[in-house]
Amino acid sequence: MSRRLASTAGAVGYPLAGLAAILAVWHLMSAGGVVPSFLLPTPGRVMQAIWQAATDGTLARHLPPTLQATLIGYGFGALAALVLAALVAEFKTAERFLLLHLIAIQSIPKVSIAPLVFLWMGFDIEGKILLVALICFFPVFANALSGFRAADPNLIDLMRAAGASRGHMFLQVKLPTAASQIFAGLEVAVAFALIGCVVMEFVGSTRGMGFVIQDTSNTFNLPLTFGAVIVLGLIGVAGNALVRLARRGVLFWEAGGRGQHG
Amino acid sequence: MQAVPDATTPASAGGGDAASHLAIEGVRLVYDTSRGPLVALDGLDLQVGRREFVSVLGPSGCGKSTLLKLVTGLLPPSAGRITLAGAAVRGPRPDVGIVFQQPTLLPWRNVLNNVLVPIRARGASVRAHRDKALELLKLVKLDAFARHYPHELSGGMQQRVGIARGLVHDPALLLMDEPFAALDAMTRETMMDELQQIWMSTPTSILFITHSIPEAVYLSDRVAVMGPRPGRIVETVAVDLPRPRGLETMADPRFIELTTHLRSLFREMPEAEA
Ligand SMILES: Nc1ncnc2c1ncn2[C@@H]1O[C@H](COP(=O)(O)OP(=O)(O)O)[C@@H](O)[C@H]1O
Ligand SMILES: [Mg+2]
Repeated sequence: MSRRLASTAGAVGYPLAGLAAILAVWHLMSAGGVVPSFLLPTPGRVMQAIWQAATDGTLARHLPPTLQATLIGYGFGALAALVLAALVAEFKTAERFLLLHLIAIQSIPKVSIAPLVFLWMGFDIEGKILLVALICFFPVFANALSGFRAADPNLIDLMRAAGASRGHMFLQVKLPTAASQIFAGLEVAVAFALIGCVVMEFVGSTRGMGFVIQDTSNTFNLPLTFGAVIVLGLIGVAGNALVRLARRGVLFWEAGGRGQHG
Repeated sequence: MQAVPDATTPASAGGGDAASHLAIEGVRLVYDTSRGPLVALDGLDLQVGRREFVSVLGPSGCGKSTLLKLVTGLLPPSAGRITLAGAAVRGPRPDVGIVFQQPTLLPWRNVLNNVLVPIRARGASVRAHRDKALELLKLVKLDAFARHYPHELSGGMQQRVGIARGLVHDPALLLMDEPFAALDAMTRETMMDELQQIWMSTPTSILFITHSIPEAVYLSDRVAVMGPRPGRIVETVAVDLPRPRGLETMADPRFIELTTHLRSLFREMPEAEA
């Protein structure tokens, strides 16, 4: 019990100590004049700016649009990825039609089409959702596809011999087999989603955390620029934690040990 | 050494019917590979009688797993015919059970539901087969673990779940592909005994693949020896040891005679690895 307590303390303690060290170096660089403080405000100034933004309505105005577009885009992107990965994995025709093009699109940096999306859809939420969905699509698609294809061939044989339908085999074997990799993709997609949303807000927007960052850096209100970046980071961490939590709930059989099909 | 034991005897010592239950005749299988056609099996003949236990013994790569795939109907032979229970095998046959070297269970299903996998797969009534599944779990001594998940079981226990699953739909034939090869030596010996009991208490014929000579002799009514690729049966040896077999069987002079004879067959084989 005490050993477990000690290891929990360690799990929290080491990252905390690391954070303290980073803050200390940051503070010293800024306060000590290594970097001019108007370019690198001290951590204290940044905290103050975050607090002010939280109380004066700045966050209330700009955080929800970012969160909303990120979440909706993430959902659409992930869903589309799962459906297309399933089609490509299951149907040779779908693979022939789609796979090459998807791989080609995958190699385009998605943020590079942000100006186009802006021209098509304006600075409303639709454009943000589109870019977020597009950028979330690929990590989920690639992971899901490789997961669907990782199903144990013996298990597939057993199911086929027993007369299982394709749908049954997909739902009972392939989808659960892929679940672990799908979650890995979903985790990566959280960070991607925020990138997509913020970039769209850079390109053209009057609301959202991306707008705050651009606006405050233009006016040299760098404490709030840093503050907004930190808030985005925290959202990313929270999103990641949520996905991990969901993973642990869904993939209960992973806790006891892998190597099942070893 | 004494005269060669009744080699190439088609009759079985364990009571297989004269009319064979599974008949494989002149089967040939050619795989299309990137390096051209690969003849895995050629001119393979093998019979298994009703309730008979037949082992196929052969070096790795000689085509044993390929043979099983043909019997399940998942892979059509390039030539020759296979009949099971009076009907030609064309396409997947739900009346065979399969047990692999790895347990190959669904990690997200408990033991009982893993046993019921073939029932769900063909859309049969789970309710109607529940008792059968539980009875089989009792037979493999896992009735206390019905609600456990595979990752909570040892390798031997997982493999026993696989055997129960292979039998749940009362298959005409149980195919076992080196089912004990991944287990440690101790577990392996217990499993051999348990399999003998399971086979004796169910009406199933078993086609058992192995590359262990003592295992084949201990378990089988007949041992069919496969030669290196392209695989075919080079000799069939009837095992006339009384059942049930036990520890003392392995010390029986006849057991030793049979295993020695089989070993000598592999000695003579080119590039044999068994
Ligand atoms: N799907 C396949 N495609 C091409 N060659 C295969 C395939 N499956 C097996 N083989 C080849 O056929 C031969 C027999 O394989 P297998 O039946 O697995 O042998 P065994 O089970 O006796 O070890 C081997 O040389 C193997 O490489
Ligand atoms: Mg094999």
